[in-house]
Amino acid sequence: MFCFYHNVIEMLGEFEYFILTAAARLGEAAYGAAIRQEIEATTGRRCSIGALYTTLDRLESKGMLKTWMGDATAQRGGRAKRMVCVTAKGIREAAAFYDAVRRVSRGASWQMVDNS
Amino acid sequence: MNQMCRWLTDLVSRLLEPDDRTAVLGDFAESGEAAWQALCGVAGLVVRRQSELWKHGGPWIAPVSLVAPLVILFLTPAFRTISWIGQQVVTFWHMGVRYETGLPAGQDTIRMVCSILLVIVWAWSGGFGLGLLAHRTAWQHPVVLASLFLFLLRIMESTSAPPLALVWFTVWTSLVFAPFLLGVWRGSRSLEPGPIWRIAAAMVILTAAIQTVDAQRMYARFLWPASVLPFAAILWQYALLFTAAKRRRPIGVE
Repeated sequence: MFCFYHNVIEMLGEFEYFILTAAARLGEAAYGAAIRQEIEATTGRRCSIGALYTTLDRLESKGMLKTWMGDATAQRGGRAKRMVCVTAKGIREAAAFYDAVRRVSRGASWQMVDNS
Repeated sequence: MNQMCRWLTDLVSRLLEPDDRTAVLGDFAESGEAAWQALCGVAGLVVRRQSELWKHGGPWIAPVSLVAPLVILFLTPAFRTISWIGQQVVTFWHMGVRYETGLPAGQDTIRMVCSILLVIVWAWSGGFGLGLLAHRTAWQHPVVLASLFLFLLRIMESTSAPPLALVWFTVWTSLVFAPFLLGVWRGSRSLEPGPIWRIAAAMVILTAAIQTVDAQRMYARFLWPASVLPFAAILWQYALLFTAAKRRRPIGVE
């Protein structure tokens, strides 16, 4: 299909990448609360449930994730989990994002320089 | 305070899809967050979900371009029929005969019943169409809010004469407002425009019945003009079927 924006590379967003990485790391235990906890623990930043679930939807509509309703547990008050699995496309996109960040960071130093 | 926050969280979470609601409330129960944090989280998700829905063209374009013109088309016969029914009831109440015709209650009933059913069918169909197109945004849609406003305005206008006000209230609620809201409710939960075919058939049959009743033919044409209604009924169904194909699928539906 002809694309007017063929020269524009559509990359993952930072938060999308965090979610894909957390879901991939958690494997079969990946679901809403676990991904949220993983992101908060690794980044040290708060992850709102609204941002998490809307991004999960977006990634699923792009074909990078697959979600389904899992089993209910007593710990969750008898409520089911929304289980998450990263698809092959998701893995490719996350790897491409990671590569791009690595390449663009080559030669750059983030040490604070005292100019005074 | 915690109890209040929990109650509010439960209330606000009802605006989410059932699967979303289950997952989110389960996540909060598992993480053991404070009740106010859960409330803020759920409210944030609801706002995001609602704004996502309004980003699509459907809730804006379809009701304005398709539903509104047909609702306007429906309003004239609906107002005429409701006035006519109101006058019939009041005249019968005071004089024991029907308005204008002077017929007793048992006669000329087919046309009256068909006219009433047609108003109900149009109102339900309008609500169903709006619910089908706007999905979960239907309840905040300007068309619904405008209908509520018109309904309240109509009641306020008729408060000067208490018996008439009661008639107006009952007729408006049972013939227009309740079917319209039921239609919105049914349409917002429906994935297929299935009932539309039955409604289309009902519209055509009722119109034909009204137009072919020999007695009071002039009044039938006054209430439901023959030249307009069949065309409107067909256009209405076509518009709904055409736009329903572009409906957004909920989570988990392949």
